[in-house]
Parts: sequence; structure tokens; C-alpha cells
Amino acid sequence: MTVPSTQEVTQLLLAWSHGDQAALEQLTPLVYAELHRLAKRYLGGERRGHTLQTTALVNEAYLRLIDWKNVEWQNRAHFFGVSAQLMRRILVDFARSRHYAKRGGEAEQVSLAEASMVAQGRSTALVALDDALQALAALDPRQSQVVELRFFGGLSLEETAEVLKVSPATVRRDWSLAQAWLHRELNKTATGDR
Amino acid sequence: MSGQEEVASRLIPFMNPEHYRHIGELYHAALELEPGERAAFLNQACAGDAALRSEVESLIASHEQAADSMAAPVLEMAAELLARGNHQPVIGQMLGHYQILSLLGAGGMGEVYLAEDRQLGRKVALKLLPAQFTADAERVRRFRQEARAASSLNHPNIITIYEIGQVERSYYIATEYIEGETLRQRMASAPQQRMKLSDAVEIAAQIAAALSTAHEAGITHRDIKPENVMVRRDGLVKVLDFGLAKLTEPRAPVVDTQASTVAGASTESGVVMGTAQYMSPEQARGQKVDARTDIFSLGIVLYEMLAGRAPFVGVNALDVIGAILNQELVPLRQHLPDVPAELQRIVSKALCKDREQRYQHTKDLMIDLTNLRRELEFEEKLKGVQGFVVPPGGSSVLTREIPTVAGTANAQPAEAATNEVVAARTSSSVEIIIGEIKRHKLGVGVALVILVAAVAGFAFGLYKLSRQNQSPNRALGPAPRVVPFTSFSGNECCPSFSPDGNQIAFAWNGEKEDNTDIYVKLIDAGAPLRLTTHPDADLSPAWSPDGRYIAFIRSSKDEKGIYLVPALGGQERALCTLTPASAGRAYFLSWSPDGKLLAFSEKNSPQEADSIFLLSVESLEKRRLTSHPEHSLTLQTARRLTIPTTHYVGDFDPSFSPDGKMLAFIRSNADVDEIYLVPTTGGEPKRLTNDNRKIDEGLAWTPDGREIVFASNRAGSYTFWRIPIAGGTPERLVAGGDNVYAPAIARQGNRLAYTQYNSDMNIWRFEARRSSGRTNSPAKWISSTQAEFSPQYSADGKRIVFISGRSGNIEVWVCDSDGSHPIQITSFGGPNVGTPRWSPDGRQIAFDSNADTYQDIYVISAGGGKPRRLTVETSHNARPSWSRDGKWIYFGSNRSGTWQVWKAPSEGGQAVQVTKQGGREAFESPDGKFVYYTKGPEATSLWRTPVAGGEEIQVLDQVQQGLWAVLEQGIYFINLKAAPYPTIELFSFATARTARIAVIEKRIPLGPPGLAVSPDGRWILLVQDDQSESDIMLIENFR
Repeated sequence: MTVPSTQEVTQLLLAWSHGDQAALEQLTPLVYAELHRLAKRYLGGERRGHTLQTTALVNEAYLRLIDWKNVEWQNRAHFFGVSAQLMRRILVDFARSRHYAKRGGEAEQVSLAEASMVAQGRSTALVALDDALQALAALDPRQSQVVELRFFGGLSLEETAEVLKVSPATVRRDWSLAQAWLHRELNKTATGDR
Repeated sequence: MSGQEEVASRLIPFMNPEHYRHIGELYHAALELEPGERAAFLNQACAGDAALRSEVESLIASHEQAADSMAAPVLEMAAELLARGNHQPVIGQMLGHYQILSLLGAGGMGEVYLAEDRQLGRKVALKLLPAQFTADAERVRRFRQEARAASSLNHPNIITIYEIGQVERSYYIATEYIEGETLRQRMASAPQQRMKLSDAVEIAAQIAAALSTAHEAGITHRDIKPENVMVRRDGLVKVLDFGLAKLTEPRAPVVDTQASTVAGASTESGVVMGTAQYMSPEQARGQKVDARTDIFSLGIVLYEMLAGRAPFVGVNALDVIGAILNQELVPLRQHLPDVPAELQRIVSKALCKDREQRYQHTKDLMIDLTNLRRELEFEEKLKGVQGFVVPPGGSSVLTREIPTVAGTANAQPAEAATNEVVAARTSSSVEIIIGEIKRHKLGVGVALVILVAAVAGFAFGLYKLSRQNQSPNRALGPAPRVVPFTSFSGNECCPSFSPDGNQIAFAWNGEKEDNTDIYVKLIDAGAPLRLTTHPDADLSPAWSPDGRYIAFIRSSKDEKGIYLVPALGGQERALCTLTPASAGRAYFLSWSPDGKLLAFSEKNSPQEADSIFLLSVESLEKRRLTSHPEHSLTLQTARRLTIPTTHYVGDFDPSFSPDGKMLAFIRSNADVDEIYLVPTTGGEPKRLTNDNRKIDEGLAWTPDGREIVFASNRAGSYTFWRIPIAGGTPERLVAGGDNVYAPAIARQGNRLAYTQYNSDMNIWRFEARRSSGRTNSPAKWISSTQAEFSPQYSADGKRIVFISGRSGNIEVWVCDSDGSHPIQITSFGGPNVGTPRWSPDGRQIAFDSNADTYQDIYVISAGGGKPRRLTVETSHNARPSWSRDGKWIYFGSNRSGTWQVWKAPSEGGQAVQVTKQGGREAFESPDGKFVYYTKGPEATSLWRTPVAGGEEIQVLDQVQQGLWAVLEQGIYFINLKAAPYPTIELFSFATARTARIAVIEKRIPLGPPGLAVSPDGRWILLVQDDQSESDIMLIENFR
């Protein structure tokens, strides 16, 4: 497979942000491969023991993939919004494939706290989180977006506010309630409340 | 229904966006209040709507618990998932110096790939450990420790670990690549999953052999199961993953079976782990495990191979554990009505729930299995004989129940075979009479030559059984077992039986280890009787056939002779003097059965190699029996005539056949020994073995005169082998461990005595603090159960090169200066390799090896690869070292007829002679101006000569080859003559004085190079014997 040009990647990303689902299918493996390479370097490299700089990782991935000079993005916030969404899609799909592969398709809910223990749990937690986020989107789409941007996009409160064009205080409130709600929902399922 | 639909359908009936917004408002409002005020606020705000209130309260509670749990963005863990995800497209990628070729399999302990080691150009199996096991540094440390211990195990049934390494945060283990199938696959392909009896026993015996070696080294496997056993195409079994199970122990409370995954029950003392079906009861309880756990697991595997199902099963892992703990074992014969009683007994004993009732030592289990295998083989052979039919419902030895022996609670395996034995003897074939059956214990008569299993209440007949590799006289009887005959401190060696087989004469260097003399001792009791007291070393006792005398060899540096001493003590008598020989080899004497001749080996003149001689005890006439075809050629002559000679060392260790017509002896060629047979009347010796291995210390004929037992390193370390005198492939003796020598067989044939050496040389590190001249206690630095020696620091002090036998062969290894990350550099796989020395830039290592007849100098990249041969002479070239500019390699060579120091360009080219008056091991001074050198193995002086040429001068006395090093500040060396213990000393160039650095309290092995000093002079590496001792052992029930 030849490495696609940065122009191609950029076009795909723009197409997807305008609702072209086929663009996502082409985009995913490219971003995945790049993320994988970077993540591996971050985890294994000189920064061992340091907290992974998520934003840096995402930025670096896109810097490498996207032709910044020749594309008019609406603004920086637009880019982060799109990339957080893309990241969620990629990571959750990845986690889902792992999750089902390991469990033979039989879903098992695990709390976030447990999830942090082992990688296997992490993929399970990620799948559960994605499910809960979809339910949250049905109740409050903006709260779901806040989580997406902050958790999957690694954005700060202020950056999130910029993307969503609301005040940071609103983001803080959304973030607080969304976290409480997600935490409760995930623990509900984990403790067998079916 | 998918997960997300399930979540949505559960939530929506109770809540809609409007509802949620209202809840959110109350939530934020309540959070702005002090916790104490919230209840009152909610009472009012919810106005009796209990559901609403509970919803808000639960979210507030959740908010407190969550405590910003999502503050860390998901990418952190997602990135880890991605980095360690198990479906990376790794094929074709490089991991360190390994190129990954294909996926071999995956399991709980990670994926295994077939990979190619690009440095050494060999295929390896590469196991990548999953991230969840290696995230914990402490666990990783323990794992490495365990894996390193396991990698030092050396046994044909244990997979060889080449390297334990790390690339970024991925840990991997590179092992030998085995073409074959797992035992699980093998079992699955058997009809009804039941394997053939003899196959199952054979495989179990090999697993037991592997475990026995590991257990002796203190390593428990903990996870014996069919998935961890490979069966090679040629039938050789390899046990995998020693010590790996420990990795999963502390924090992975998960029990995997094929069908179910359950959380294990944690107990006070530990966490349950492992594969449920193969767990021992103590493992299932989470108790501390030991070797007996592996015995239990092996019992399960054996049971499963035979019955087609594991003995303890259940619908899930907890069920299985319950069965292991509480369920009675269903006897094997319920699955397999024809199971031999002995096999039933072995399995039951291995599977006792109480480990105190189980086999206590894996070796016992191994011996029982091996004996049973032999019996099965023999029975099969009998079945193959025309006309011989085992009756249905079988009452052959193997299928009959064990007769209970009155008064014996625990029937010994021995009692399984209490059959009448009818023996007959011919020279070429065996006539077997199946006679009337009388039950009595196995008779051990002089005519115990060929034993045959006869059958209870069965017929008479006469059958011929051609005798091939299998010796029928081993088919029956009690299991051989090893018992100590002596266990004194010091060295006891070279046993010789009295004619009645009740006493053994041996040599011992005494409680104080100061004087080797001849002793005799009864086998069952008593203190040893000392027969000689002379200050010279008395060795090699040989009991005369009439029982009255013991012949022995007395030797000192200058004198050597054969003596006789009465077996009950008394005046000794000299028979003849012998040419003194250079040290380093034990000599053996053998009496002719008529007591008239003594055979021995001796140099006819000091310049010649040893030959076999016969001495008439009456006339004291000496007769030479062997001479090497090339014995008269000196090395120089051979070179001039361009005869491709092997380096003939001599003929040794003669041993009379029981009929007195033949002598067996060892012909030694450099590093290859072969057994030869020669008629006692003279003639051309005939070669018996032909396999380029070392054979050492003594030969023993079986009393039937059909076989010779000898010690050979053909399987790594020295073990006992037997070979038919008619020729064939040597077969390994079941009993007797490693490092065994000097076999002697009682005339009655039931006992074999031998010398067991217990030695383990390791590299220790001493600290040399120059200010005070004192040192801290030395630490064991580089060690395994095999020998480690010949260390040297790289010029930057960061790495150490050394020789280790840990892979089963002597090879060059490199590790970090703290002893970590050992990597095998060479893969000669047999020939000796020695004195590895760094190039000044640390990129290359020069060493010597006798891979091609002569010792030669080789150079290899410090990262491994193909060695480059530097010398190609028909002479020996040994002990290389580099010039300080890296352009030359110094070495000792006897190409001129005497040992001199030579140097050759390190890139290859014509060698130049450096010394003229002798020289062997050389190092250049750090300033590159002088060459320092010793003059030979026995010479103890150190000399120097200018690199530019000039006169040589003696620098020091008392410097032993291999035990010195030159640094800027001076010469470090071991003073072996220092009293009361040898010392490490430093001769300072500045002051020309010698100062003591440390006292060495352990024994220093002589021969292998043993001293290295770090470039900064702070650390000293020294090879020490952690154990050096020998005992005489007996194999009882030898057959």
C-alpha cells in the first residue's frame, strides 16, 4: 500500500466532516496506522513513565497526515471537533473488535475503575462508555459532545468551549453532570443491575 | 440485541431530555450548596417526587465517587491498547535483531512467533509477553530472574532459552524453534483421544526427566499441561515455559480453561492461578507450591493421555477445582481395563491429593516411568516373537496385579516384578525358556545374564529373540536407584569393587583435603579403612581378582609408580615405576581376570604420548600393547609432510573384558575421544565409538561382557552411556545424574559405583577500593547451574564478555556490567570455545575454538553473527588479545614447534612472531609500549618485551596463566601461593611494589581464565568454584 499524500488525507477528513461516510472507511486505517506508530513511540520511548500527552499525540498525528497550508479549515476548533469524533470512532471500533474477539461475542460489563487495571478491561470499558455516551446523546447531545471532545479529543475546558461556542462555565457544568451520569450508568451495568 | 440497544431501551422509558434537563438543574443547584444543606433543598425542590429525588441523589453520590475519573483522556489508555494490541501487523517487522516471520500460536502468556535471528542467522520461537503482565515492574523483575534461572537449565527435554530481552516496553523470550506438535495436538489426533500405552509412558518419562533436572535446580514449572509440551517429529519431548507461570501469579486472579474464565478465589497466602484441570490441590487452594505440584500435574497429563479425558473435570473452572480438592480419583482401569498394574500404581501415586503421599522426588517418578517403558518395549518384543501369545485378560508381568508383600505397607515398585526368571546364555542370540512359574524374588546369581519375563501359569516354549539394541537383561526387576556410598567432604574418586561385591576401594583426599590416599569401606556400613598414608597422591585403586590386594598408582610431580597394598592393610610394595605425566588426567589400572596382569597407560618416554601397557605381576615384565600410527611423528614432521594429523593425545584407561581376552581403552585426540578394543594378545585396535565426543575417566564392562559403560559429554555434561561391544548407538543410562565419571560394575552385575562431581564455577565480583586497599564482600555476579568463566570488561567498562555453558554448550556470551541482559554470541554447538577478548572499540570479540581440529583464533562482531577465522595453521593458536590500537591480535601458537607469542593483523594477514624464548598468553600494556606474557600453563612467571622489539625481562614470579590483567596502574594477579588463602594482588608500576587487594576464600578453578579488572580499577571479576567436591555413588539394581 502506498502512503497517501497529505492532500488526500485532508480531502478525506473534510469529506467526512461534511457527512461522507465512505471517506471515513478510507480514513480510518490511515489514522489508525499513524496513531499506532506514534502511540508505540510514546509508550516505548524516552518519555517512559510520563503521562502520555494526548493532545500532543493527536496533534502530531494530524500534523503528519494533513496538508495544513493548503486547506482552509473553518478554524482550529473545527479541526479538533472533527478529530475527536474520528478518534472516538476509531478507538471504540478497535476496542469493540478486541472486546468481542476475546469474549467470544459475549459482552461483559466492567466498571471504569476495574477497567484501568488491565488493557483487556480497558477495551471493555471503552465499549461500555461508547454505549452510555450514545444513550446520553439521546438525553443531551451537547453533554455527549463535551465528553467526546474532552475524553476522546483530549481538549481542555476552554478549547471545548471554543469548539462548542459556549462559555467555559457551561462546559464545566456539562462535564460535571455527564461524568456523574456516565459513572453511575457504567457502575449500574457493572454491578449486575440488568 | 446489541449492547447499545440494551442500554437505550433500559433508559428511555424512565427518562427523556426534558426530564434529564430538570434533573440536571437540581443537581447543579444542590452541588452549589454545602453538603449539609442539600437534603433540605431536595426535600423542597422534589416536592414528594421520590423517584426524582433518588435520581438526583444518586448522581450527586456518583459525582463524588467519580471525582474527575475521566480527567485522563481516553487516549492514554487507548494508545496503550493500540501499542500493545494483539492484532498488530507484526509479520515481517523487526523486533530488535529478530525478524518476525509468522505467528506460531497464541495463548494466555502472549503470542509466539516464528522469527529469524538476523545476527546469528537461525530460526527462533519468539514469545511476546502481553502488556498486562509486564506493566508491573516488580513482577517483571521477578519474571526475569525466574526466566534467567530457567535459561540456565540444560537438558534435552527442556527447551533452550536463547535470550530474554526487551524492546521498548515489549518483553520477549527467544527460544529454540521446535518443529513438531503440542502434546494437546498429539492427544487430539489419537483414536478416542487415547494414546498408545508405550507412547504415553515414553512422553511422560521425558517430561519427568525435564522436571527432574529443573527441580534439582530449584525451579518449579507450575503450569505443566499438554499445551506446554512439544513433541518433535523424532519423538523427542520438549517442555516449554519454565518459570513463566510465575509471571501470572500475583495480580492476575484469573483461571483459564478452554471453556470458561472465572475469577479465582483469593486466599490468605496467595492467588489461584494456572489452568484449572492440571492444578494440584495445593495450587487450587492458593498455597505455596513446590516440585510436587508439577508431579501432580504430570500425573493428570499422563492420566489424560491414557484415558482420553482428564481425571477431574467440571462445567467451569470452579467446578474443576472442587473436583481436584474433593473428588476421589477414578482408577485408570475403569477407562482402560488392560492398564498395567504398575502404571496404575504410578499414576495413583502421582495423583495423591496429599502431597506428602505423592512421589517426593521427580527422579523417582522418572525412574519408575523409564523402567515401565523398558518393560513395555520388551513385552512388545516378546509379542512379536512367533508363537508367543499373551493370554487374553493378560497375566503377563505388565498386566498382573501387584502381589501384596506381607508386612509391607507401601509396595515398592520393585515388587511388581516377582517372577520366575529363567536365564540362558549364548554368544550371539538369546534362547528364552518360558518355564514353569514359581514366584520368588528376583534371584541374583552369577548367571544373571539374560532375564526373561515368564508368564504365570503359562506354557513352555523355546523362542529365539534376536538381540539388537535392547538388552533383555534390563527388562525386569526392581528399579535402579542411586544411593550415596560416601559423602565425605573433599574428593572421593575412582571406586573399585571387591570381588565379592561387598566392599569398595577408593581414593580420598581426606577430611583436611590435604593428602589423597587409598581407603576401603563396606557398602552397607562402617567407617572407611585407610590403607595408605604416603604424602604423595595415591590414586586409581584396583582390587585384585583374588580379593587380597589393591593395586594403585602413587604419583608426585617427579615420580610415579604402581604399588600393591593388602586389602586388609599392611606393607605396601612397589611394582614398577612409570614415566611421570603432566597433570590433569586421572589414570586407571585394570587387573586381568586371572590376576596375572595389570593394564595401565604410560608415556614410553616423556616426549611421547601415552600408550597401553601390560605388566606381569609375577615377573614384573612390561609389554607395550598399543602405539598410535603417528606416534613417532612430531608435530613439525607432520607439518612438513603435510599430513593432516589430528592432535593425538594418547591411549588411556584400559579395562579388561570379563573373559580376559580383550582390552577396551580410550584413544584421545585433542578434544575428541573414542573407545577402542584390542585383543590382549596384541593386534590392531578396533574403534567402537565414532561420534567425536569427549569420553572421560574410566570404562566398565558389564559382567556379561556384552557392553561397556562410559562417561561422555555427548548430551552436554558428562553422563553415563552404554554401548554394545558389537557396535551400535550408545544408549544413555537411566540412573546417575550429570558430572559422573569412573564407572565400576560389581562382578555380580547388580551394582554400579561411580564418582559424582559436584562443581559449579561462577563469576564473582570484588570491589577494589584503592584508597584503603580493602574490599567489600564479593558478590556472585554472573552465574547459572553451568560453568561461567573467562570474563573480560569492555574498554568502556559497560559490558562483560564471558564463557558460559548455560545453553548446554560452551559458548561466548555478553552481558551488561551489572550482569543483566546476557546474550549468547556464538553458536558452535559443541566444540570448546574460550578466552573471549574485546577489541578496544568494543565492536569485536576475539576468541579461540577447536571447532576445526586445532585451536584457532576467531573474531566475531560483539553483536553476534558469523565468526571470522583468523588463523588457519596446522598448529594450535590460543588465548588472543588485542593491541591497544586494535590493529593486531596477539596469541600463543605452537606453529614453530614451541609455544611462542605471535601477533596477526586483526583484519587478517601474515602473523609475526613476538617472543623467542617461550610465551603463551599476552596482553599489551595500556600505553601500547610493552607486551606482557606468561610462558605456559605450568610456568608461573610473567615477562615483558617492548612492542618495538628488544630484550625480554621477567616482571613477576607467581603469576598463573589466565589469572592476571594489565592496567595503567599496574598488574593485577592472583597469588596462588599466598598463605593461608590465595590473594588478589596489584603490582604497581609507579612503586614497583605489590599490594594485597583481597583474600580469596573460595576455591579458584585452575585452567580456565578467571580474572578481569574494570578499566577504572574499581571492580574485579574472579571465577570461583562455588562447589567443588566429589562423592562415590552407587546405582543399586543396576541392570
